[in-house]
Amino acid sequence: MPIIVYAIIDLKRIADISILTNLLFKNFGIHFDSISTSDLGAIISTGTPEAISINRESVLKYAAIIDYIAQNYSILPLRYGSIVATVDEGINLLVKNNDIFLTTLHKIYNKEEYSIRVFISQRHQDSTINRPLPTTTSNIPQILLGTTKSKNYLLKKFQTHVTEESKKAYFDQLKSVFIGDLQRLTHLLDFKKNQSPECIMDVVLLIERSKRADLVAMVADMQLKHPEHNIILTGPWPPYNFTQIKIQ
Amino acid sequence: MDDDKVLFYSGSANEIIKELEKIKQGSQSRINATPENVESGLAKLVLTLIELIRKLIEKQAMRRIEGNSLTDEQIENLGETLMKLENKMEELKKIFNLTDKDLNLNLGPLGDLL
Amino acid sequence: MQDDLYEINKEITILDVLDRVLNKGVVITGDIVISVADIDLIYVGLRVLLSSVETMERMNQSHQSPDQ
Repeated sequence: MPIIVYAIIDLKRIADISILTNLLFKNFGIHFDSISTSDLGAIISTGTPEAISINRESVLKYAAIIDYIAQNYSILPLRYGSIVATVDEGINLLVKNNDIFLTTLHKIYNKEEYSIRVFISQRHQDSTINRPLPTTTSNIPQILLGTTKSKNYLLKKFQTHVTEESKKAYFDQLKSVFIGDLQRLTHLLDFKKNQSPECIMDVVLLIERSKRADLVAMVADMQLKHPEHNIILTGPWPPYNFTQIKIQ
Repeated sequence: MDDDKVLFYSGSANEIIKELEKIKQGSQSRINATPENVESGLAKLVLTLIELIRKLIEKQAMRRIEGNSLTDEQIENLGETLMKLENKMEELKKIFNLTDKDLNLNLGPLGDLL
Repeated sequence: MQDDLYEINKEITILDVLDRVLNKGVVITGDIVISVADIDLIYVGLRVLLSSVETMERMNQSHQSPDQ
């Protein structure tokens, strides 16, 4: 009987797992169950073809279940499509990966994940860092002074290069200001590579639940100090970005 | 789960929408492999790699120029070579009907290649 | 417009959820993952993402009103 796995939990941190499964039933109308070893438990439900269908609704429902559990417990969230053939195999999974699960659960204990994206509007960029630098002979390298085709070509490339470098330096400096602020709240930060040239920073962070208000206040403050930037803060999320474990 | 996990945001609706577009595009470009476009996909891959190398060579050249370590003759050769490379690249792009945008592979969490 | 704000927040939220639940978290790979009703589960994430992106595009098209 295939089973869907939603979350993995440290048994030391939950008095009675059946209370949770009952609450889940009340909230979602699905029968949940749990499997466990001496250290770990997993919230599961019986997999039916309908429950594992390929559509957005099923995915969002799955995510909502995990979100609900994570509101009150520290868990390892499973990716959508996490199915195990039998209960025995599920237990085997918990046994085989006991150490990494426990270590990660300890890392994320009592913490929540947030996402912060900072980007700078194109308009502001154009009026500041994208303005072409005035070209005087003093900032052209000696070797490119001349009228040959090669030199003209290289000069154009060089000017673009200088503009790009100064833009990069500007972004890096801004980013380090934001990072400095964030590090006062947590060191569990994961930076994503930029999706677009306007994006200065795309980071997910893990902070203590109790520090939520501090985070929001800090972001609001960041915005006030740098009104030319746009900031999006989302959360709290189950700690998906800090529990990326691949297991067999 | 709430429909709304946005705790804070600033900026105009238009700007936010533009940013969303980019993020969506990022996730889309990874799932376009069909048998039909595998072939043009290969050309894209090869040209993307060539373009990457070309850009790296260009970057290296800029550093050398900054470092003031090149002679007049070397500058001439460098300029000519880079020009030829760039022209060749434009030719190839035309032959395979690819734009700069096509060649910028999105590597998911690693960001864009170029 | 209050409505627009709500829609945008919803879109951002959905994007973020999908990214997490489809690409992050603990992944079970290998023999333990099975096909249910002949559906290969490895493709589940991709196909779902595809359809969700289409939905978001439709939502977005209804956003493109003139003078915004």
